[in-house]
Amino acid sequence: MNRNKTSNLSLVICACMMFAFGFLASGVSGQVPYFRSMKLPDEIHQTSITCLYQDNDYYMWIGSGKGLYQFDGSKFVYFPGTAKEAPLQVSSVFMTNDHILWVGTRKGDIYQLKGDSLQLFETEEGNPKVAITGFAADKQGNLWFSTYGEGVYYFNGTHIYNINSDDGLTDNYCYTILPDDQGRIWVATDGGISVCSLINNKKSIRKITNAEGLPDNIVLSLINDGTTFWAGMQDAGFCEIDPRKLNVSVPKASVNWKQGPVKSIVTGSNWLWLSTEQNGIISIQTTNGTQNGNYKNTGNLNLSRISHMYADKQGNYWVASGNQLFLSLGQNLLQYVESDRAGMKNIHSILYDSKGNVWFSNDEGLFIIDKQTRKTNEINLPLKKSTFIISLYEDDKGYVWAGTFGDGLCCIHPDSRKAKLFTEKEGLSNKNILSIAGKGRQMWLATLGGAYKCDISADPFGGRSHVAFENYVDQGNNYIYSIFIDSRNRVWFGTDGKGISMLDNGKIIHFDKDPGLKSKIIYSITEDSDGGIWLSTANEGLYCYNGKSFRNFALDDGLSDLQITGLLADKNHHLLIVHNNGLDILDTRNNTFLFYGAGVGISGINPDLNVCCLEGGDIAWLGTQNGLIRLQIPSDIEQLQPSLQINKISVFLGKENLIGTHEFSYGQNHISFHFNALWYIAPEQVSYQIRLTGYDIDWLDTRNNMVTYSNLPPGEYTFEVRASMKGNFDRSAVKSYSLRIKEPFWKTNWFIIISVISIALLIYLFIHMRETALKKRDAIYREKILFQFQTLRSQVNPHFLFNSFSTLISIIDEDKEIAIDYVEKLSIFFRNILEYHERDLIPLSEEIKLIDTYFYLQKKRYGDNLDLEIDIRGNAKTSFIPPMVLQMLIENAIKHSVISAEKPLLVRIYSDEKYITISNQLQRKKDKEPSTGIGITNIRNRYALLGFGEIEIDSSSDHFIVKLPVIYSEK
Amino acid sequence: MKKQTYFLLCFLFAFTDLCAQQEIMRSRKSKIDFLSDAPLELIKASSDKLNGIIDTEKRTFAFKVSNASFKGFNSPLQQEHFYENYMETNAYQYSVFEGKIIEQVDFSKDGNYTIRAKGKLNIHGIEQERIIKVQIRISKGVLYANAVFTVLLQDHNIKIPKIVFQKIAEEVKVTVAIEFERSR
Repeated sequence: MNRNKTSNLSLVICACMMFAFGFLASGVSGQVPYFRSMKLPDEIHQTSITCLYQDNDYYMWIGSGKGLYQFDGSKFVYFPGTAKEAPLQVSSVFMTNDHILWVGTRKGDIYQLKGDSLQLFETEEGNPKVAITGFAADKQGNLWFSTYGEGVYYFNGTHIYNINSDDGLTDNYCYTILPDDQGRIWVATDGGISVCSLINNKKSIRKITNAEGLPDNIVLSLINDGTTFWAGMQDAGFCEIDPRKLNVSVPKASVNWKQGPVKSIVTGSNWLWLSTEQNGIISIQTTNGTQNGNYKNTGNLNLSRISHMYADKQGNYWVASGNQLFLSLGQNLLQYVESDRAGMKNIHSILYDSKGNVWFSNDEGLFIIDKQTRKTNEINLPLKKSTFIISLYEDDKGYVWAGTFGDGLCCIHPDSRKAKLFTEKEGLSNKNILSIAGKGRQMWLATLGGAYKCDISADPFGGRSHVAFENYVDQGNNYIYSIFIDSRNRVWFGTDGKGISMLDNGKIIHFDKDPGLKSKIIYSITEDSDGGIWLSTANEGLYCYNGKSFRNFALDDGLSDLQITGLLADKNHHLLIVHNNGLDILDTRNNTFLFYGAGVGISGINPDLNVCCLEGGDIAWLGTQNGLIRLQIPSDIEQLQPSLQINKISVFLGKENLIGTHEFSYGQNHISFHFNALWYIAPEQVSYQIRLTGYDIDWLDTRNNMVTYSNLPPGEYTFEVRASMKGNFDRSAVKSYSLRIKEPFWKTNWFIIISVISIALLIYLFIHMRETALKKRDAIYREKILFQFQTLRSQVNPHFLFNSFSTLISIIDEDKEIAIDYVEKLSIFFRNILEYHERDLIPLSEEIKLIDTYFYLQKKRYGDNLDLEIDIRGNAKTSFIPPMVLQMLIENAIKHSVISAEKPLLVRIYSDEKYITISNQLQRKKDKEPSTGIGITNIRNRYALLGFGEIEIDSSSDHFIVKLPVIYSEK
Repeated sequence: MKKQTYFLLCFLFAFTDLCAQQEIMRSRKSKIDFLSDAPLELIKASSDKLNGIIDTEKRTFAFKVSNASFKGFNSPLQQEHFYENYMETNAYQYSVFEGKIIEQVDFSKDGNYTIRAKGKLNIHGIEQERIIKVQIRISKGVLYANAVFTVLLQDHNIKIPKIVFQKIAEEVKVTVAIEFERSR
């Protein structure tokens, strides 16, 4: 009981001390991070920002009660939800590795961003009915999301599963969710922290609660700084959790916490920022667990309603407070703009001493910020009030040497802080000390009257003769701006007008004739961690001396400004170049530049030279017109470059994003590429170079983030883009996109081949058909001639004539009249033969007339034994027929048949719609008359060649039948 | 004194029992269908032997159906395959789903609700945790519940011979319609 009481008492005392300490920390030193307010769209202004997220493409996503916005550094793009819920009350945003953006809302719905629109994510299991508070992805590819009231869910691509208090979750009310490097999912709940994992699809939960040492079970925030987890709680501040053993440890600053709920945490290299509801941001030094800052409302800065803090991938810290959004470098950049004792305007020199105190001089005098108390104290100097201290140096014994402008050199005792002045009496003939350098017991001064070498081996406060000043004046080379002793103990002198000189083992070397060094006015000198000597010049930029030659770095190489006032070299191969516009950080190994300017709070750099110094190997102090800046130099600036993406490809300025399409048709030759290099600190400084290989010959400069190529001819292209903040693209990464515009189909090989083949085929067919037609015509002609010849021959057949004449003789005796008639008919018959033999077709009626005549002639010979029956009906009456066909068939019938009283011959000619048929009984003569057989064949050929169809011959029954197709048209 | 306590205890037991009874709803009518819509063959069957019970206070539930009660197959052969090859009804007689309702619903109030039932689905002897979305309608003390969900055959180790694979979909769609009333 007693023990408890004392511990309580000690806690109270401790808390009081903490409070006092905190007060001192915030009040005295006046150190504040720089917050840049981002201009938000009006819609967000009316609501508050609920979540911040940077996706894999470095776009910032801002969720608010009035919908989702994408921010690229300069513009906000609004993404409306579906009609069901508009605007979305976004509560969390996350991007999975497949580049799908997931959006959770306060109502429990989940949306996926597809293309340009948010689509409701629907599964069989249905969506939660309470707010989605966070997303996380595990190593097995499950997407986890936490809810405020239903525990957590995980989606394995098919089904959604739930883990809630029934499964052992510490509570169903979850605030955030975070994966660790083992693939486990940490969930911050009202009942503690649950570390969830799936082992062979079985839920496994490890709890971190009061019982495990968690000071407060209500855990509002969780963050993983790479090695350890930090949890922010409702009442008990914050704590550290070892992700291996799950041990909880409570840092000093969190003991007896009175600052309210810790709603959000971000981490830096060795610090944490905690956001509280009433007390703004509290900064914690993680190395010792103490509070090292507390940032509240000042001026326009409203930090009283911080809803979310977020650390992006480019070293920026985003703070959403109420309806405001701030960008900051976090604890990495602190400004000292006010102090209890000293004005912070117009800093002329600065020094970080070996004990951790900060010395600075301004218009009012020389001050020291004590490391322990953080109080600012003035150093009393035996000087006129109007004298400026323009150089500061701490020797190896802790004496601080302050060079004045016109009044000599002061030495300040490390313990008593008493000052002693050295002037011409001590041998210092020029009292304008611009720069001090030293090593061991040797010190060098740069003055407007040459350089001084000082031996400070004796106690400076000992007596008049103890510090000896030896003047090194080179002829006419009186103004020396800076002096530097390198790692090889060479002393470098930066002069006004004579370039740079170097003292090496008592021998002075002048580089004023070196053709590589154009400028003769050297302001600053330093040495990088690889031994390269760096110079800044009045107007030619920066030079690097590698022992042999000078290499120049100017604007084209990535330098932001030529008005360089100071140089620093850190331990990580970086060169810091302080200039009028801010600070360039150069990685000397790969010549990459990083620029920090007004966008992150570095502005108002003094025109005074060398108002900068290092704290340790990686913190820079800069003096400005507005105060001091303390900057944690990033360890790897190559990571801190604009993130370039080609994010849209459109055709004919259409809305559809065709990214992923690499083949375009001949008609899609009006192609636009949209790209963006995201750099939130200074988006306006990003410029691009683009090139379409296969089209452009060289890179083209542009500041637009879109380019359109119209009327691209078919071919292979690669679009390339690179971005730079400095116009120096040599080290910029190139993003490229290959595409092919296809040949129009009429230019493709296969089309040409097919065309050639078909044309050849057509020509061949034409020739072939023509040849056939010609052959046919020839054949017809030949057949016609043959027919004519045959008919003529048959009619001039002596047999026929003999028969006719015999008949005629017998008739003449019997009846003269009939004989005359007979001869007339005979002559008509022959005339008709002559008339018709040239023609292809004659009307059937004429043929009938002809056969009437012919039959008359034959009837006279055979009398009643021969008979002809003609029965032509219908359309056949007006039809046509090749001349002499019927006559020849009748003649054939008569020729080949027995004609007698016992066996009379009846030749029938009749018609139907299709055929004209000639039929006679089959009564063959015993002695066959020689038959050429040409007659029938000839008829058949003529019908076939003229295209009138096939004639049919049937002698199978007791009749001989010939069927001739009816020809209706003369054509 | 002793007697009195005894009576009191009896009364209390009866009362609590009565109270407990009030929270239990039992199914009075039910239908469960399943549909396997494979390219080659559509298998469909249903059963009205689904029994369910809900504790509206604790939001817990349990459903059970006899696998052999499914009827209405296209052919007796199909039914035989279903019983013997796939469900192995001799070894695994019942399919069971039991668990807890995620949402807080006032079951005494008439209205339409969408709730999600989280529980263990046991088919073919293999238990899988599932969340099943259920549309419910409460009207005059009767609860009408409708749900559609899919069952992945591989989740429940239901093996299908390679040749038959074309005939059975990997996913089987299950439709449930069930009515509950307060048990007396």
